[in-house]
Amino acid sequence: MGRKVLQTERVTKRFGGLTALNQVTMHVEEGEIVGLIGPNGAGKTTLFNTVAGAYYATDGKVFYDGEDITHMQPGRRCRMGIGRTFQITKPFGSLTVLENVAIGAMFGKNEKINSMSRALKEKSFVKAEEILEFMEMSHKKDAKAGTLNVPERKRLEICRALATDPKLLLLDEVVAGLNSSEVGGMVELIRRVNKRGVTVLMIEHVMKAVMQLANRIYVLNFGELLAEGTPEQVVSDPVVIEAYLGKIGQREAKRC
Amino acid sequence: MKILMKDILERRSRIAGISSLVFFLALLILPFLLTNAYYLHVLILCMIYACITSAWNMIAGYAGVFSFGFQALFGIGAYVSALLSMRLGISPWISMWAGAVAAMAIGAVVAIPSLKLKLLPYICIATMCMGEIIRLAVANFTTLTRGEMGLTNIPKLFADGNRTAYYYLAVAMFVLILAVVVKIVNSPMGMSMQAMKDSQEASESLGINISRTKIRIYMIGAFMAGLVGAFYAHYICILTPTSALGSSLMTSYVAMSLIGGIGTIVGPVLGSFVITIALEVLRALADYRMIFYALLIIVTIIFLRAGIWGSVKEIFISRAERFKNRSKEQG
Repeated sequence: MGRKVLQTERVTKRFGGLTALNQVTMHVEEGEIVGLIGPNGAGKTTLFNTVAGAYYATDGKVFYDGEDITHMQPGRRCRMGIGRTFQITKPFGSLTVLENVAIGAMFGKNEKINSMSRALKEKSFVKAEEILEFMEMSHKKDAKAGTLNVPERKRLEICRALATDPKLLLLDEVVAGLNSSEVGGMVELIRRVNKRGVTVLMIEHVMKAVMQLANRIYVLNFGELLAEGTPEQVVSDPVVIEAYLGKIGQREAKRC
Repeated sequence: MKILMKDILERRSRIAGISSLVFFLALLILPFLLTNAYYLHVLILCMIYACITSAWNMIAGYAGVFSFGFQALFGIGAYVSALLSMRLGISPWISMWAGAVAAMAIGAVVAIPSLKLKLLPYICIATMCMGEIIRLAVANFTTLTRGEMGLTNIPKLFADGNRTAYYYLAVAMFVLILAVVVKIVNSPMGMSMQAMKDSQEASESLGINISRTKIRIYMIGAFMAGLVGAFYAHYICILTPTSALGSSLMTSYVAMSLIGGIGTIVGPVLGSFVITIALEVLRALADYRMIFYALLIIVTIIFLRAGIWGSVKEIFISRAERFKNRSKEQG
């Protein structure tokens, strides 16, 4: 068993009377690609947000690399090595694609930086160019991020997160909304990112992508962990079929 | 034409450097051409406004933190420096810096709680209230500030009130503040400010400490505002709560930024010069000037959303890019 990069212990998140997450315990091991699936409103993105720091868990604990990060600021979590993308993409629309990525490289790695340093800026732009090259986005580098289409925005989200040199990358539905040929490209890309040594936790509805990529899958339903296991185990689990996949979904998932 | 456009796009930074150099040289030469002291006075006012509007624009236009109590920081700088030099006999050259530091300190006191608020309307209300509270405090603390009677006979920086000397000091302050603003905007910090304006959540997720950045930038802006306020106090030599702390000042900063082009370096400077000069030219119309002022704001907001400079820039860049793309297609 590999080292646990991420571990949540009975994480609960309540918004007023609504319990979005109820006692979720899960973990991600170094080098893995772990899928997080479940119906809409199951709490997948909420779980991401408690891990990345956009929300703090109401109860329970979140550990990253053995350290308790339950109440840590999102910026610090990023600098520790947690990168994330947003389901509803949030590009810095008035900046160029290259600048978007360079910002990740500037602020996402080091705790102590000189924020007036010209050298830091130059170094970050070089790094950003490399990442855009790796992610096949170089042709768009001078475009304003606000002018990108949806697949490009999703790719930009990943580029930006990668620029922070994450050890753990949280991908929130980066495949959803892409057409079938684009899905293939994105799957390939995620695999390449993982090969670079980045552990991946991904929320995804597109079963084809999850089945191809994930080593393990967690299924959330109504804020509770419903099942976990290898992709094969999960898609044949009757509880999962009942709650999420349905008969047709299962057939499709198995075909992948 | 095609070649020209491409060149301009590629040499943008050099062109910006040369034209700003020309502009500052012109400012240096102007006193020799304008013999009328009144013209110099108007130019000094222009520069005072340009400084403070640039500082405000750095915070609001670049970082997206809309502080509507910025006039209070100007007023604090003015009052602190004036009182120190009047009551304690400190040289105004030294008290000016004390005024700036005081404004920065008050800025920090306001910024630390209110800039932790993430939603813009809350920040607007918090800073606006801060401005009013400070004005009311100064207006009612009559034993120290003489309230609406105002402070008069504030020591001058130059014994004989030499206009030309004041003018050159204003130029120096203007160049200094603008240089710092440009330096910050072009630094990694400047980029984090722009990122923050577009999406606070995303910038946090990329490692930016947004409340620290906001507080830092607000304190730098407050220092600038305080310094300019102190200069104003020792130049005009009369201070009243309405003239140095009134919310109409805030309206001017916003109007000047909007008309010139918010979120650009040149915009606020352009706006300050255009509006200050226009209001002086139209002085014969007395208070009817305000109609012109209002019309100008309305017209800009409807037809030039990005302000004068912002619009020029947009048109220019899109045209240059079209030329670039066309020449690329032609191989």
